[in-house]
Amino acid sequence: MNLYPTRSNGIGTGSERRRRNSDKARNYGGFVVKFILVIIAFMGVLVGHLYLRQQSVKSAERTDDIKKQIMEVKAENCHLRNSIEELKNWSHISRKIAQFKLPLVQPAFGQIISIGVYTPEQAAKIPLTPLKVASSAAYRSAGR
Amino acid sequence: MGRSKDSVESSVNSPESIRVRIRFMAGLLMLAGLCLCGRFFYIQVMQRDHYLAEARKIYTQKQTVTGQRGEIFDRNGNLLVANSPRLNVECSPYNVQKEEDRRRLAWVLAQLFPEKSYRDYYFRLDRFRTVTGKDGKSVRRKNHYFLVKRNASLEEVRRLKQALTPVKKKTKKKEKKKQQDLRRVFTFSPGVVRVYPKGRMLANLLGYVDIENDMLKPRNGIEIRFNETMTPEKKRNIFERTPAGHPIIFAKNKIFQPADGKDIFLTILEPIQAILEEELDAAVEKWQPEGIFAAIADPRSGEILAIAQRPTFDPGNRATYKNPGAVRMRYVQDLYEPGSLAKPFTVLRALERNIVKPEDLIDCEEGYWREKKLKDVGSYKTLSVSDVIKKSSNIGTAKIALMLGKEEVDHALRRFGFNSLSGLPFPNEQRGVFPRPRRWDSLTITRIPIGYSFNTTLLQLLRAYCGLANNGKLPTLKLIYGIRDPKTGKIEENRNGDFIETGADPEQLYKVIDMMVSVTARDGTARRAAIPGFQVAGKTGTSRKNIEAVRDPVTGKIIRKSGYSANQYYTSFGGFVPAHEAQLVMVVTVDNPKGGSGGGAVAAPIFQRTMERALRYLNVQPTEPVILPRSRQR
Repeated sequence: MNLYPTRSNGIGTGSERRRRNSDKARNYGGFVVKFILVIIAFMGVLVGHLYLRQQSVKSAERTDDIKKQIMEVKAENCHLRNSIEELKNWSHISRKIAQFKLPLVQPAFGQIISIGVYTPEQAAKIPLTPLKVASSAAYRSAGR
Repeated sequence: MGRSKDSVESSVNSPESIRVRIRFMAGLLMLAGLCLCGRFFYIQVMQRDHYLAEARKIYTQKQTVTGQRGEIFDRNGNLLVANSPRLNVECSPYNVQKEEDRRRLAWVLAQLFPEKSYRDYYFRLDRFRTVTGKDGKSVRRKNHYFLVKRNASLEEVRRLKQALTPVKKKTKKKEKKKQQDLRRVFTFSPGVVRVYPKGRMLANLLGYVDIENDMLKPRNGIEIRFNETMTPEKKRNIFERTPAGHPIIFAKNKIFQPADGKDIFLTILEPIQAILEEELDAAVEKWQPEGIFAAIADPRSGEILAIAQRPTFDPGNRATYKNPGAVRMRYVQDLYEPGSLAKPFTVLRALERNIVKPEDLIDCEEGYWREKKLKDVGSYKTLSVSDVIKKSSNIGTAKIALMLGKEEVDHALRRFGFNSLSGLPFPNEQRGVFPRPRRWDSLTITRIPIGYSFNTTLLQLLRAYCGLANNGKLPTLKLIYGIRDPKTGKIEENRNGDFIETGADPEQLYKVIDMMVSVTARDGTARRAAIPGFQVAGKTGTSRKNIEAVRDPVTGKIIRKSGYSANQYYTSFGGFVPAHEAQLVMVVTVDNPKGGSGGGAVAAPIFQRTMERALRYLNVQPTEPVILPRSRQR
């Protein structure tokens, strides 16, 4: 598009000149509009970019808060686990037995039966003949 | 006028005028754009480094993060030492702006954390603190930090937050805002403490940790020995943060997730440990000794299943740390003469060398051998070699040793691990003193076979008895079952289960074990060690304590000479069960019990009760018909 016509092109009748002038004005207007649109588009992209960054910061904050909550839950879990272990402590159990005067007697030899939950693979390895004397290997594997 | 007005309007609205104005505006916008671009260029390119550095100072945060210290478990995964997450309550007194807020805070803190009084808190919450400057003058500075409570529990922190939460009822907006500010003066940084959920159980072995410069410093036992393994990774995070302190995710951050320390799995079985400790407590109550230490092991693998001592300490209660005898590992560090526990080793060697046979008779000098200044507890004229063990005759054993010779007696004990380390991972383990035969005098050969003139630790005795029980194969004692890597969750098992061949003849060993079984028979010295349904092989031991000289603190004169005490003893019992297919070995030593001296009276019952319960727990089936003694029959 020729926005700056040569002088020779501008010479002509009045109506022609007016038409050319209005064409020029239209062309200039178009240029300005385009320029403004480009600026608006650029600003829009910029604002969009800033908005997204803002959102990502917010989501990071939310993530951080959730992480903190997870930490708290983990800490609580840890605390509960320690409490369970304290309650499982034999000195605690024996104190409770004495406190409630539970008439417990020790089992006789042979009265103890160990029940283990095995996977099919583990179960396949267990010999079908009963063990007369429990070996330490047996209790080790049962304990794992 | 009207015309001129029209002409002005027409000239203003003329295309030329519009064009000029448009050009002017476009030029202005372009100029503004250029200016902006120029400014951007100046800031972003010319002054980039300066502004970047300035900005980074503000929003870059450096933070050192560590993982969790490894925990300690027993063989079956029962927790013995754990981490407990805590929070350090920190406060910025400068931000407490009003006097009434300061008072309120001091009151709340005094209620929740009564370690300090209201007055202390009030003074510490001063907005300014006086410090001495470089020139020696006092300077008042803003008080931005006050550590209210180190390692507060989550519950305490929750209560603090609750106490500072503004009350909703009819409070004006302004007041509410002030109260919210009060909560904001606190920050809570993560901390951790070591907790011992089983209390005193296994305390000496596990050790404890102190806090030094906000770091956990191990002080004893497994905690210090495996400190490197259990220590977590430490990383330095560098990240750009938002004003609220959160990391900006699109920035070039260096954020690491430090690995936790490795978990230690011991060979200890918690139920057996609990049984042992309970029996030791009962023995302490009955005999009031200066100390008791005992250990149980599986002779086939050398794994220690339980180990305990009294007195001990509570790792969760620092007041109990004061007694050094209670804190140190006596079974690793304390040396004592084993007494008659050493006799079976000499007799075994004599049988192997075919010097004596079990039925051979030995002249026991009717209880006193003048030539060698040696006594027996009973006055026996003659005893068979079997009975020498059964009745624990010192004279009989000494005579067998004289027949055997110095070198053979020395070899008989050394091959079972006396004067060598047991294999446990403790650098402070004592080897003991065991003189070489060339340094023995004429009496030493009669003393060493009966457990005098050399000293040993409980662990050496345990290992030696494991060797007897394990058909002459001397195991390296094991305490670590495995180490768990937190990344993979897999337990890497400890394969260091070496055995040393003692070269003991299994046939003769069988005979010696039979002799040891007779020790726990009705007419043996340790009938109280017998367990109904099982053949128990064992040996009692009693040795006088070798005490140091005592001087008068004023005059410096010796009040009491050093040497063997007339009334202070170590009484021990070592044994294994079932005798010929041993699954458990136990050695127990009682240091100076009150009201009893013999191993058969003091130590053997501890062995009997502990082992009976342990066998039940392991569901080991009886090898003999179960005949309960009369005292236990209903």
